[in-house]
Amino acid sequence: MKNDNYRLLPFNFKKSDNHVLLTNDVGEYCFLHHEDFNRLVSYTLPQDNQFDNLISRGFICDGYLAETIDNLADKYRTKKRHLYDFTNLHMMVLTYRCNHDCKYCHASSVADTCQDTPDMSIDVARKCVDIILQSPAKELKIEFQGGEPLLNYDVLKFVVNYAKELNNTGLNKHIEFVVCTNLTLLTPEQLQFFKEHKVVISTSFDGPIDCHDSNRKLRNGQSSYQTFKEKLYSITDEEMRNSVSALLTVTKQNINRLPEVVDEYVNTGFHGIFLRKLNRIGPADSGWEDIGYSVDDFISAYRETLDYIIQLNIKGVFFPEILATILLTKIMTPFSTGFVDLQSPAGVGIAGVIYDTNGNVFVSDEGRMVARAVGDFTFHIGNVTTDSWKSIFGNTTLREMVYASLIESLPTCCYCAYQPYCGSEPVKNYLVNGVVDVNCKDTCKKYKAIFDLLFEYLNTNNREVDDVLWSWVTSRRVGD
Amino acid sequence: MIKVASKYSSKLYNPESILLAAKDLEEYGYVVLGEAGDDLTVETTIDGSKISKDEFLLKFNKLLSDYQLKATISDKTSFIRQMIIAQAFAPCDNLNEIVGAFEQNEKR
Repeated sequence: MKNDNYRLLPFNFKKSDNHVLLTNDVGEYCFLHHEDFNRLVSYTLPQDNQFDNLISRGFICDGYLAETIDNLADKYRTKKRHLYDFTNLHMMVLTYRCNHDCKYCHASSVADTCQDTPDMSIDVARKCVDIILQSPAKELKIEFQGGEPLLNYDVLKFVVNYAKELNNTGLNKHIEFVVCTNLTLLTPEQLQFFKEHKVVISTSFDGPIDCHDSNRKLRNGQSSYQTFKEKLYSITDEEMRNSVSALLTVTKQNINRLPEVVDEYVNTGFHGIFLRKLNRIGPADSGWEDIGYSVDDFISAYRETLDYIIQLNIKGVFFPEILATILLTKIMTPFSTGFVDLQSPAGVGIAGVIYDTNGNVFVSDEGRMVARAVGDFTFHIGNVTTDSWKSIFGNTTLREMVYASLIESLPTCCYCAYQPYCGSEPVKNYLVNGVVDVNCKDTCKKYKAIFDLLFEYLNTNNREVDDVLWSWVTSRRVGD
Repeated sequence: MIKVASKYSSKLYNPESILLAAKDLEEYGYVVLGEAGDDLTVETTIDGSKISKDEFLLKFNKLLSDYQLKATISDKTSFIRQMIIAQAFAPCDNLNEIVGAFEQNEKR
Protein backbone atom coordinates (compact mmCIF):
# COMPACT_ATOMS: atom_id res chain seq x y z
CA MET A 1 0.00 0.00 0.00
CA LYS A 2 1.33 3.44 -0.93
CA ASN A 3 2.62 5.51 1.97
CA ASP A 4 2.45 9.16 1.01
CA ASN A 5 3.77 10.19 4.37
CA TYR A 6 7.42 10.26 3.50
CA ARG A 7 9.78 11.65 0.92
CA LEU A 8 13.18 10.33 -0.07
CA LEU A 9 16.28 12.26 0.90
CA PRO A 10 19.48 12.08 -1.17
CA PHE A 11 21.20 8.70 -0.93
CA ASN A 12 23.12 6.13 -2.92
CA PHE A 13 22.98 2.36 -2.70
CA LYS A 14 24.90 -0.81 -3.48
CA LYS A 15 23.16 -4.14 -4.01
CA SER A 16 24.64 -7.43 -2.86
CA ASP A 17 23.14 -10.90 -2.93
CA ASN A 18 21.53 -10.66 0.50
CA HIS A 19 21.04 -6.98 1.14
CA VAL A 20 21.19 -3.44 -0.11
CA LEU A 21 23.59 -0.97 1.51
CA LEU A 22 22.32 2.61 1.63
CA THR A 23 24.63 5.55 2.32
CA ASN A 24 24.06 9.29 2.26
CA ASP A 25 26.14 12.45 1.93
CA VAL A 26 26.56 12.81 5.69
CA GLY A 27 28.07 9.35 5.98
CA GLU A 28 25.14 7.51 7.56
CA TYR A 29 24.60 3.94 6.40
CA CYS A 30 21.90 1.34 6.62
CA PHE A 31 21.38 -2.25 5.43
CA LEU A 32 18.02 -3.25 3.99
CA HIS A 33 16.68 -6.51 2.65
CA HIS A 34 15.89 -6.30 -1.04
CA GLU A 35 12.13 -6.36 -0.41
CA ASP A 36 12.35 -3.45 2.03
CA PHE A 37 14.49 -1.50 -0.41
CA ASN A 38 11.95 -2.02 -3.16
CA ARG A 39 9.20 -0.85 -0.81
CA LEU A 40 11.28 2.19 0.14
CA VAL A 41 11.75 3.41 -3.43
CA SER A 42 8.16 2.64 -4.40
CA TYR A 43 6.83 4.60 -1.40
CA THR A 44 5.17 1.55 0.13
CA LEU A 45 7.37 1.23 3.22
CA PRO A 46 5.21 0.67 6.31
CA GLN A 47 5.71 2.85 9.38
CA ASP A 48 7.65 0.53 11.65
CA ASN A 49 11.05 0.40 13.35
CA GLN A 50 12.77 0.24 9.99
CA PHE A 51 10.94 3.40 8.95
CA ASP A 52 12.01 5.23 12.13
CA ASN A 53 15.60 4.09 11.64
CA LEU A 54 15.64 5.48 8.11
CA ILE A 55 14.27 8.81 9.35
CA SER A 56 16.83 9.09 12.15
CA ARG A 57 19.68 8.41 9.74
CA GLY A 58 18.50 10.92 7.16
CA PHE A 59 17.35 8.63 4.33
CA ILE A 60 13.71 9.65 4.44
CA CYS A 61 11.73 12.49 5.92
CA ASP A 62 8.10 12.45 7.05
CA GLY A 63 7.54 16.17 7.50
CA TYR A 64 9.67 18.95 9.07
CA LEU A 65 11.82 19.18 5.94
CA ALA A 66 13.50 22.46 6.95
CA GLU A 67 14.55 21.01 10.31
CA THR A 68 15.81 17.88 8.60
CA ILE A 69 17.88 19.92 6.15
CA ASP A 70 19.32 21.95 9.02
CA ASN A 71 20.22 18.80 10.93
CA LEU A 72 21.85 17.17 7.91
CA ALA A 73 23.70 20.40 7.17
CA ASP A 74 25.26 20.26 10.66
CA LYS A 75 26.39 16.70 10.01
CA TYR A 76 27.73 17.58 6.57
CA ARG A 77 29.71 20.48 7.98
CA THR A 78 31.19 18.16 10.60
CA LYS A 79 32.17 15.67 7.93
CA LYS A 80 33.97 18.39 6.01
CA ARG A 81 35.52 19.94 9.13
CA HIS A 82 39.03 19.38 7.77
CA LEU A 83 38.42 22.01 5.07
CA TYR A 84 38.19 24.79 7.61
CA ASP A 85 41.71 24.18 8.88
CA PHE A 86 43.38 24.48 5.48
CA THR A 87 46.95 23.25 5.11
CA ASN A 88 48.09 21.72 8.37
CA LEU A 89 50.60 19.09 7.18
CA HIS A 90 53.86 20.57 5.92
CA MET A 91 56.52 18.14 4.77
CA MET A 92 60.08 19.35 4.39
CA VAL A 93 62.62 17.41 2.34
CA LEU A 94 65.87 18.12 4.16
CA THR A 95 68.10 16.06 1.88
CA TYR A 96 68.06 13.45 -0.87
CA ARG A 97 71.09 11.73 0.60
CA CYS A 98 70.49 8.43 2.31
CA ASN A 99 72.52 5.54 3.69
CA HIS A 100 69.92 3.07 2.42
CA ASP A 101 69.28 1.96 -1.14
CA CYS A 102 65.65 0.87 -0.94
CA LYS A 103 64.24 -0.64 -4.12
CA TYR A 104 61.02 1.33 -3.87
CA CYS A 105 62.46 4.62 -2.63
CA HIS A 106 59.82 7.26 -3.22
CA ALA A 107 62.40 10.03 -3.01
CA SER A 108 64.80 8.63 -5.63
CA SER A 109 67.48 9.14 -3.00
CA VAL A 110 71.22 9.39 -3.63
CA ALA A 111 74.27 8.11 -1.74
CA ASP A 112 74.86 9.62 1.68
CA THR A 113 78.28 10.79 0.50
CA CYS A 114 76.94 12.42 -2.66
CA GLN A 115 78.00 16.03 -3.10
CA ASP A 116 76.03 16.74 -6.29
CA THR A 117 72.56 17.10 -4.82
CA PRO A 118 72.47 20.00 -2.35
CA ASP A 119 70.69 19.59 0.97
CA MET A 120 68.13 22.11 2.16
CA SER A 121 70.04 25.14 3.44
CA ILE A 122 69.25 27.06 6.61
CA ASP A 123 68.12 30.04 4.50
CA VAL A 124 65.62 27.94 2.55
CA ALA A 125 64.49 26.24 5.76
CA ARG A 126 63.90 29.62 7.39
CA LYS A 127 61.76 30.76 4.45
CA CYS A 128 59.82 27.45 4.58
CA VAL A 129 59.02 28.02 8.25
CA ASP A 130 58.03 31.64 7.54
CA ILE A 131 55.55 30.36 4.96
CA ILE A 132 54.33 27.44 7.11
CA LEU A 133 53.51 29.65 10.09
CA GLN A 134 51.32 31.81 7.85
CA SER A 135 48.91 28.91 7.40
CA PRO A 136 45.53 29.71 9.00
CA ALA A 137 45.49 26.23 10.57
CA LYS A 138 45.68 26.36 14.37
CA GLU A 139 47.35 22.96 14.49
CA LEU A 140 50.37 22.33 12.33
CA LYS A 141 52.45 19.26 11.68
CA ILE A 142 55.95 19.75 10.31
CA GLU A 143 57.27 16.48 8.96
CA PHE A 144 60.94 16.02 8.10
CA GLN A 145 61.58 13.78 5.12
CA GLY A 146 64.42 12.80 2.84
CA GLY A 147 66.41 10.77 1.78
CA GLU A 148 67.43 10.35 5.38
CA PRO A 149 66.67 13.63 7.20
CA LEU A 150 69.13 12.86 10.02
CA LEU A 151 71.89 13.45 7.45
CA ASN A 152 70.88 17.13 7.58
CA TYR A 153 70.35 17.23 11.32
CA ASP A 154 71.58 20.82 11.75
CA VAL A 155 68.76 22.11 9.56
CA LEU A 156 66.26 19.86 11.35
CA LYS A 157 67.32 21.35 14.69
CA PHE A 158 67.18 24.85 13.25
CA VAL A 159 63.62 24.35 11.97
CA VAL A 160 62.36 23.06 15.31
CA ASN A 161 63.91 25.93 17.23
CA TYR A 162 62.98 28.64 14.71
CA ALA A 163 59.40 27.43 14.36
CA LYS A 164 58.94 27.52 18.13
CA GLU A 165 60.57 30.96 18.35
CA LEU A 166 58.31 32.35 15.61
CA ASN A 167 55.26 30.73 17.17
CA ASN A 168 56.04 32.44 20.47
CA THR A 169 55.61 35.87 18.85
CA GLY A 170 51.88 35.54 19.42
CA LEU A 171 50.86 33.04 16.75
CA ASN A 172 49.94 30.46 19.43
CA LYS A 173 49.63 27.54 17.09
CA HIS A 174 50.00 23.97 18.26
CA ILE A 175 52.96 22.59 16.31
CA GLU A 176 53.84 18.92 16.14
CA PHE A 177 57.12 17.73 14.64
CA VAL A 178 57.63 14.35 13.01
CA VAL A 179 60.87 12.92 11.63
CA CYS A 180 60.59 10.17 8.98
CA THR A 181 63.80 8.26 9.48
CA ASN A 182 65.20 4.80 8.83
CA LEU A 183 66.58 5.05 12.41
CA THR A 184 69.98 3.55 11.57
CA LEU A 185 71.87 6.83 12.03
CA LEU A 186 70.13 7.94 15.21
CA THR A 187 72.52 9.22 17.89
CA PRO A 188 71.91 9.67 21.63
CA GLU A 189 72.24 13.44 21.19
CA GLN A 190 69.53 13.45 18.51
CA LEU A 191 67.33 11.25 20.65
CA GLN A 192 67.72 13.65 23.55
CA PHE A 193 66.77 16.59 21.32
CA PHE A 194 63.71 14.72 20.03
CA LYS A 195 62.66 13.94 23.57
CA GLU A 196 63.06 17.54 24.74
CA HIS A 197 61.14 18.97 21.81
CA LYS A 198 58.62 16.14 21.52
CA VAL A 199 59.64 15.25 17.97
CA VAL A 200 57.75 12.10 17.04
CA ILE A 201 59.60 9.39 15.13
CA SER A 202 58.08 7.67 12.11
CA THR A 203 60.10 4.88 10.55
CA SER A 204 59.84 2.09 7.98
CA PHE A 205 59.83 -1.59 8.76
CA ASP A 206 59.04 -4.35 6.28
CA GLY A 207 58.82 -7.35 8.59
CA PRO A 208 61.08 -10.36 9.31
CA ILE A 209 64.78 -9.99 8.50
CA ASP A 210 64.64 -11.49 5.02
CA CYS A 211 61.59 -9.39 4.03
CA HIS A 212 63.03 -6.19 5.47
CA ASP A 213 66.50 -6.64 4.02
CA SER A 214 65.35 -7.81 0.60
CA ASN A 215 64.20 -4.25 -0.23
CA ARG A 216 65.84 -2.08 2.42
CA LYS A 217 69.57 -2.77 2.31
CA LEU A 218 72.22 -0.28 3.31
CA ARG A 219 74.15 1.34 0.46
CA ASN A 220 77.15 -0.82 1.28
CA GLY A 221 74.98 -3.89 0.63
CA GLN A 222 74.77 -4.95 4.25
CA SER A 223 71.68 -5.81 6.22
CA SER A 224 69.90 -2.89 7.85
CA TYR A 225 67.59 -5.03 10.01
CA GLN A 226 69.96 -5.50 12.99
CA THR A 227 71.01 -1.86 13.10
CA PHE A 228 67.39 -0.79 12.83
CA LYS A 229 66.43 -2.99 15.79
CA GLU A 230 69.39 -1.83 17.88
CA LYS A 231 68.54 1.81 17.32
CA LEU A 232 64.86 1.19 18.00
CA TYR A 233 65.62 -0.54 21.30
CA SER A 234 68.01 2.27 22.23
CA ILE A 235 64.88 4.41 22.69
CA THR A 236 64.35 3.52 26.32
CA ASP A 237 62.08 6.40 27.30
CA GLU A 238 58.65 4.75 27.43
CA GLU A 239 56.63 7.71 26.18
CA MET A 240 58.95 8.25 23.26
CA ARG A 241 59.12 4.56 22.45
CA ASN A 242 55.34 4.28 22.42
CA SER A 243 55.09 7.19 20.02
CA VAL A 244 57.38 5.58 17.41
CA SER A 245 55.29 4.38 14.49
CA ALA A 246 56.37 2.29 11.55
CA LEU A 247 55.15 2.13 7.99
CA LEU A 248 55.07 -1.10 6.08
CA THR A 249 55.50 -1.16 2.32
CA VAL A 250 53.88 -4.27 0.89
CA THR A 251 56.06 -5.74 -1.87
CA LYS A 252 56.26 -9.04 -3.72
CA GLN A 253 58.70 -10.17 -1.04
CA ASN A 254 56.25 -9.90 1.86
CA ILE A 255 52.78 -9.92 0.31
CA ASN A 256 52.30 -13.64 0.93
CA ARG A 257 53.67 -13.41 4.47
CA LEU A 258 51.76 -10.50 5.90
CA PRO A 259 50.57 -12.38 9.01
CA GLU A 260 54.25 -13.05 9.76
CA VAL A 261 54.94 -9.35 9.24
CA VAL A 262 52.15 -8.55 11.69
CA ASP A 263 53.70 -10.92 14.25
CA GLU A 264 57.07 -9.24 13.74
CA TYR A 265 55.49 -5.83 14.34
CA VAL A 266 53.82 -7.05 17.51
CA ASN A 267 57.00 -8.70 18.82
CA THR A 268 59.01 -5.57 18.03
CA GLY A 269 56.63 -3.50 20.15
CA PHE A 270 54.77 -1.50 17.52
CA HIS A 271 51.18 -0.63 18.28
CA GLY A 272 49.59 -0.92 14.86
CA ILE A 273 50.30 -1.48 11.21
CA PHE A 274 49.37 0.25 7.95
CA LEU A 275 49.12 -2.30 5.15
CA ARG A 276 50.31 0.11 2.51
CA LYS A 277 50.16 -0.81 -1.17
CA LEU A 278 53.26 -0.06 -3.18
CA ASN A 279 53.02 3.09 -5.33
CA ARG A 280 54.33 2.63 -8.82
CA ILE A 281 56.43 5.79 -8.96
CA GLY A 282 60.18 6.32 -9.48
CA PRO A 283 62.39 3.29 -8.67
CA ALA A 284 59.29 1.24 -7.80
CA ASP A 285 58.08 1.68 -11.37
CA SER A 286 61.35 0.69 -12.99
CA GLY A 287 61.75 -2.23 -10.57
CA TRP A 288 58.11 -3.32 -10.74
CA GLU A 289 58.89 -6.77 -12.07
CA ASP A 290 61.07 -7.46 -9.00
CA ILE A 291 58.88 -5.99 -6.29
CA GLY A 292 55.41 -5.33 -7.76
CA TYR A 293 52.14 -7.28 -7.78
CA SER A 294 48.60 -6.91 -9.05
CA VAL A 295 45.85 -5.03 -7.26
CA ASP A 296 43.93 -8.32 -7.01
CA ASP A 297 46.87 -9.87 -5.14
CA PHE A 298 46.91 -6.92 -2.76
CA ILE A 299 43.17 -7.15 -2.14
CA SER A 300 43.39 -10.85 -1.42
CA ALA A 301 46.35 -10.38 0.95
CA TYR A 302 44.64 -7.47 2.68
CA ARG A 303 41.49 -9.52 3.32
CA GLU A 304 43.43 -12.38 4.80
CA THR A 305 45.65 -10.17 6.93
CA LEU A 306 42.87 -7.98 8.24
CA ASP A 307 41.06 -11.08 9.40
CA TYR A 308 44.26 -12.27 11.08
CA ILE A 309 44.69 -8.92 12.83
CA ILE A 310 41.06 -8.90 14.02
CA GLN A 311 41.50 -12.40 15.47
CA LEU A 312 44.67 -11.19 17.22
CA ASN A 313 42.70 -8.37 18.79
CA ILE A 314 39.96 -10.77 19.87
CA LYS A 315 42.66 -12.75 21.70
CA GLY A 316 43.55 -9.61 23.64
CA VAL A 317 46.32 -7.93 21.66
CA PHE A 318 45.31 -4.33 20.89
CA PHE A 319 46.75 -3.84 17.42
CA PRO A 320 44.82 -1.80 14.86
CA GLU A 321 45.23 -1.83 11.10
CA ILE A 322 45.59 1.87 10.43
CA LEU A 323 43.90 2.13 7.01
CA ALA A 324 40.89 0.18 8.28
CA THR A 325 40.80 2.42 11.35
CA ILE A 326 40.75 5.56 9.23
CA LEU A 327 37.98 4.24 6.97
CA LEU A 328 35.96 2.92 9.91
CA THR A 329 36.23 6.31 11.61
CA LYS A 330 34.69 7.86 8.50
CA ILE A 331 31.94 5.19 8.43
CA MET A 332 31.14 4.84 12.11
CA THR A 333 31.54 8.39 13.38
CA PRO A 334 30.35 11.78 12.18
CA PHE A 335 33.90 13.12 12.09
CA SER A 336 36.43 13.76 9.37
CA THR A 337 39.82 12.15 9.76
CA GLY A 338 42.30 14.48 8.13
CA PHE A 339 43.73 11.57 6.14
CA VAL A 340 45.07 13.60 3.25
CA ASP A 341 45.26 10.73 0.77
CA LEU A 342 41.51 10.10 0.74
CA GLN A 343 39.52 13.30 0.90
CA SER A 344 37.06 15.16 -1.24
CA PRO A 345 38.27 17.56 -2.43
CA ALA A 346 41.69 15.90 -2.38
CA GLY A 347 44.09 16.97 0.32
CA VAL A 348 46.72 18.03 -2.23
CA GLY A 349 47.90 21.45 -1.18
CA ILE A 350 44.89 22.23 1.00
CA ALA A 351 45.58 19.61 3.66
CA GLY A 352 49.21 18.75 3.03
CA VAL A 353 52.04 20.25 1.02
CA ILE A 354 55.74 19.47 0.52
CA TYR A 355 58.78 21.73 0.38
CA ASP A 356 61.73 20.48 -1.66
CA THR A 357 65.38 21.03 -0.74
CA ASN A 358 65.59 24.09 -2.99
CA GLY A 359 62.36 25.63 -1.71
CA ASN A 360 60.11 24.37 -4.50
CA VAL A 361 56.63 23.68 -3.23
CA PHE A 362 54.51 20.79 -4.54
CA VAL A 363 50.90 19.86 -3.84
CA SER A 364 51.94 16.43 -2.56
CA ASP A 365 54.83 14.04 -2.11
CA GLU A 366 53.77 12.18 -5.26
CA GLY A 367 53.75 15.47 -7.15
CA ARG A 368 57.33 16.08 -6.03
CA MET A 369 58.31 12.51 -7.00
CA VAL A 370 56.92 13.07 -10.49
CA ALA A 371 59.07 16.20 -10.87
CA ARG A 372 62.17 14.46 -9.60
CA ALA A 373 61.69 11.18 -11.46
CA VAL A 374 60.63 12.47 -14.89
CA GLY A 375 61.03 16.25 -14.78
CA ASP A 376 57.28 16.92 -14.95
CA PHE A 377 56.48 20.01 -12.89
CA THR A 378 52.71 19.88 -13.30
CA PHE A 379 52.20 19.79 -9.53
CA HIS A 380 54.63 22.57 -8.67
CA ILE A 381 52.92 25.58 -7.06
CA GLY A 382 55.74 27.95 -6.18
CA ASN A 383 59.02 28.48 -4.39
CA VAL A 384 59.46 29.81 -0.86
CA THR A 385 62.46 31.94 -1.88
CA THR A 386 60.49 33.94 -4.46
CA ASP A 387 56.76 33.56 -3.77
CA SER A 388 54.42 34.73 -1.06
CA TRP A 389 52.07 32.50 0.93
CA LYS A 390 49.16 33.91 -1.05
CA SER A 391 50.66 33.18 -4.42
CA ILE A 392 51.69 29.64 -3.41
CA PHE A 393 48.40 28.61 -1.81
CA GLY A 394 46.23 30.62 -4.17
CA ASN A 395 48.05 29.11 -7.15
CA THR A 396 45.92 28.25 -10.20
CA THR A 397 47.23 24.66 -10.27
CA LEU A 398 46.11 24.17 -6.71
CA ARG A 399 42.66 25.61 -7.38
CA GLU A 400 42.22 23.43 -10.46
CA MET A 401 43.27 20.37 -8.48
CA VAL A 402 40.60 21.16 -5.88
CA TYR A 403 37.88 21.56 -8.52
CA ALA A 404 38.94 18.40 -10.32
CA SER A 405 39.02 16.26 -7.19
CA LEU A 406 35.50 16.80 -5.87
CA ILE A 407 34.26 13.25 -6.18
CA GLU A 408 30.69 14.37 -5.46
CA SER A 409 30.66 15.66 -9.02
CA LEU A 410 32.85 13.12 -10.84
CA PRO A 411 30.65 10.93 -13.09
CA THR A 412 32.32 7.70 -11.93
CA CYS A 413 32.05 8.58 -8.23
CA CYS A 414 28.84 10.56 -7.72
CA TYR A 415 26.63 7.44 -7.64
CA CYS A 416 29.03 5.27 -5.69
CA ALA A 417 27.73 4.11 -2.31
CA TYR A 418 31.22 4.56 -0.84
CA GLN A 419 31.56 8.15 -2.02
CA PRO A 420 30.91 9.73 1.45
CA TYR A 421 33.96 7.92 2.79
CA CYS A 422 36.26 8.08 -0.20
CA GLY A 423 38.39 10.60 -2.03
CA SER A 424 40.46 11.32 -5.05
CA GLU A 425 44.21 10.99 -5.75
CA PRO A 426 44.75 13.45 -8.59
CA VAL A 427 48.51 12.89 -8.95
CA LYS A 428 48.07 9.14 -9.26
CA ASN A 429 45.22 9.71 -11.72
CA TYR A 430 47.52 11.91 -13.76
CA LEU A 431 50.29 9.30 -13.77
CA VAL A 432 47.99 6.53 -14.91
CA ASN A 433 45.42 8.32 -17.07
CA GLY A 434 47.13 11.54 -18.03
CA VAL A 435 44.37 13.64 -16.42
CA VAL A 436 43.66 14.43 -12.78
CA ASP A 437 39.90 13.91 -12.79
CA VAL A 438 39.62 10.36 -14.10
CA ASN A 439 40.19 7.93 -11.28
CA CYS A 440 42.89 5.32 -11.46
CA LYS A 441 41.08 2.01 -11.97
CA ASP A 442 43.34 0.00 -9.65
CA THR A 443 43.05 2.54 -6.83
CA CYS A 444 39.27 2.54 -7.18
CA LYS A 445 39.21 -1.26 -7.23
CA LYS A 446 41.38 -1.41 -4.11
CA TYR A 447 39.27 0.97 -2.07
CA LYS A 448 35.98 -0.56 -3.21
CA ALA A 449 37.22 -3.99 -2.14
CA ILE A 450 38.31 -2.67 1.26
CA PHE A 451 34.99 -0.90 1.78
CA ASP A 452 33.17 -4.09 0.74
CA LEU A 453 35.16 -5.98 3.38
CA LEU A 454 34.58 -3.44 6.15
CA PHE A 455 30.84 -3.27 5.48
CA GLU A 456 30.73 -7.07 5.45
CA TYR A 457 32.19 -7.00 8.96
CA LEU A 458 29.70 -4.34 10.03
CA ASN A 459 26.76 -6.29 8.65
CA THR A 460 27.58 -9.61 10.27
CA ASN A 461 26.70 -8.28 13.75
CA ASN A 462 29.46 -10.34 15.33
CA ARG A 463 29.80 -8.82 18.80
CA GLU A 464 33.49 -9.68 19.18
CA VAL A 465 34.39 -8.19 15.80
CA ASP A 466 32.25 -5.10 16.46
CA ASP A 467 34.06 -4.56 19.76
CA VAL A 468 37.44 -4.79 18.04
CA LEU A 469 36.48 -2.35 15.29
CA TRP A 470 35.12 0.12 17.84
CA SER A 471 38.28 -0.27 19.92
CA TRP A 472 40.32 0.87 16.91
CA VAL A 473 38.07 3.84 16.21
CA THR A 474 38.13 4.97 19.83
CA SER A 475 41.80 3.98 20.44
CA ARG A 476 40.74 2.08 23.53
CA ARG A 477 41.32 -1.56 24.21
CA VAL A 478 38.32 -3.85 24.28
CA GLY A 479 37.12 -3.96 27.85
CA ASP A 480 38.50 -0.53 28.81
CA MET B 1 33.82 -10.31 -30.46
CA ILE B 2 30.05 -10.41 -30.38
CA LYS B 3 28.01 -7.42 -31.49
CA VAL B 4 24.54 -6.80 -30.18
CA ALA B 5 22.18 -3.97 -31.10
CA SER B 6 19.61 -2.93 -28.51
CA LYS B 7 17.08 -0.19 -27.99
CA TYR B 8 16.18 1.43 -24.73
CA SER B 9 13.31 3.82 -24.30
CA SER B 10 14.59 7.32 -23.63
CA LYS B 11 11.52 7.81 -21.42
CA LEU B 12 12.92 5.21 -19.04
CA TYR B 13 16.68 5.49 -19.38
CA ASN B 14 19.11 8.34 -19.90
CA PRO B 15 22.37 8.05 -21.82
CA GLU B 16 24.44 8.66 -18.67
CA SER B 17 23.01 5.55 -17.01
CA ILE B 18 23.82 3.46 -20.09
CA LEU B 19 27.40 4.72 -20.14
CA LEU B 20 27.91 4.17 -16.42
CA ALA B 21 26.58 0.62 -16.64
CA ALA B 22 28.90 0.00 -19.57
CA LYS B 23 31.86 1.39 -17.64
CA ASP B 24 31.30 -1.10 -14.85
CA LEU B 25 31.58 -3.88 -17.41
CA GLU B 26 34.44 -2.39 -19.42
CA GLU B 27 36.64 -5.44 -18.93
CA TYR B 28 34.06 -7.46 -20.90
CA GLY B 29 33.05 -5.07 -23.62
CA TYR B 30 31.96 -1.59 -24.61
CA VAL B 31 28.96 0.29 -25.96
CA VAL B 32 28.44 2.91 -28.63
CA LEU B 33 25.37 5.11 -28.35
CA GLY B 34 23.40 6.01 -31.43
CA GLU B 35 21.72 9.38 -32.02
CA ALA B 36 19.22 10.48 -29.41
CA GLY B 37 15.55 10.02 -30.23
CA ASP B 38 12.50 8.31 -28.72
CA ASP B 39 14.66 5.26 -28.31
CA LEU B 40 18.33 5.11 -27.43
CA THR B 41 20.09 2.76 -29.77
CA VAL B 42 23.03 0.98 -28.19
CA GLU B 43 25.53 -1.10 -30.08
CA THR B 44 27.34 -3.39 -27.65
CA THR B 45 30.56 -5.22 -28.44
CA ILE B 46 31.24 -8.13 -26.10
CA ASP B 47 34.47 -10.08 -25.65
CA GLY B 48 33.04 -13.57 -26.07
CA SER B 49 36.16 -15.16 -24.61
CA LYS B 50 35.50 -13.59 -21.21
CA ILE B 51 31.72 -13.67 -20.95
CA SER B 52 28.71 -14.96 -22.86
CA LYS B 53 26.31 -12.55 -24.54
CA ASP B 54 23.41 -13.51 -22.27
CA GLU B 55 25.46 -13.12 -19.10
CA PHE B 56 26.76 -9.73 -20.23
CA LEU B 57 23.30 -8.45 -21.10
CA LEU B 58 21.88 -9.71 -17.80
CA LYS B 59 24.59 -7.90 -15.82
CA PHE B 60 24.29 -4.82 -18.02
CA ASN B 61 20.53 -4.54 -17.66
CA LYS B 62 20.74 -4.94 -13.85
CA LEU B 63 23.39 -2.24 -13.66
CA LEU B 64 21.43 0.00 -16.00
CA SER B 65 18.32 -0.37 -13.87
CA ASP B 66 20.28 0.51 -10.73
CA TYR B 67 22.04 3.50 -12.28
CA GLN B 68 18.76 4.80 -13.62
CA LEU B 69 17.20 4.47 -10.17
CA LYS B 70 20.15 6.35 -8.68
CA ALA B 71 19.77 9.07 -11.30
CA THR B 72 16.04 9.33 -10.60
CA ILE B 73 16.60 9.59 -6.83
CA SER B 74 19.32 12.16 -7.42
CA ASP B 75 17.04 14.25 -9.65
CA LYS B 76 14.13 14.07 -7.20
CA THR B 77 16.30 15.04 -4.24
CA SER B 78 18.57 17.51 -6.02
CA PHE B 79 17.06 20.58 -4.36
CA ILE B 80 17.36 19.03 -0.91
CA ARG B 81 20.99 18.07 -1.53
CA GLN B 82 21.81 21.61 -2.66
CA MET B 83 20.05 23.08 0.38
CA ILE B 84 21.98 20.79 2.75
CA ILE B 85 25.31 21.86 1.27
CA ALA B 86 24.31 25.52 1.14
CA GLN B 87 23.05 25.43 4.72
CA ALA B 88 26.25 23.67 5.83
CA PHE B 89 28.58 26.39 4.56
CA ALA B 90 26.43 29.51 4.23
CA PRO B 91 23.49 29.06 6.59
CA CYS B 92 20.49 31.30 6.01
CA ASP B 93 17.87 32.53 8.44
CA ASN B 94 14.92 31.99 6.13
CA LEU B 95 15.35 28.28 5.49
CA ASN B 96 11.73 27.65 6.51
CA GLU B 97 10.49 30.08 3.86
CA ILE B 98 12.69 28.62 1.14
CA VAL B 99 11.63 25.07 1.95
CA GLY B 100 8.01 26.16 2.22
CA ALA B 101 8.15 27.67 -1.26
CA PHE B 102 9.73 24.48 -2.59
CA GLU B 103 7.02 22.32 -1.04
CA GLN B 104 4.30 24.59 -2.44
CA ASN B 105 5.84 24.33 -5.87
CA GLU B 106 5.90 20.55 -5.61
CA LYS B 107 2.18 20.41 -4.95
CA ARG B 108 1.37 22.36 -8.14
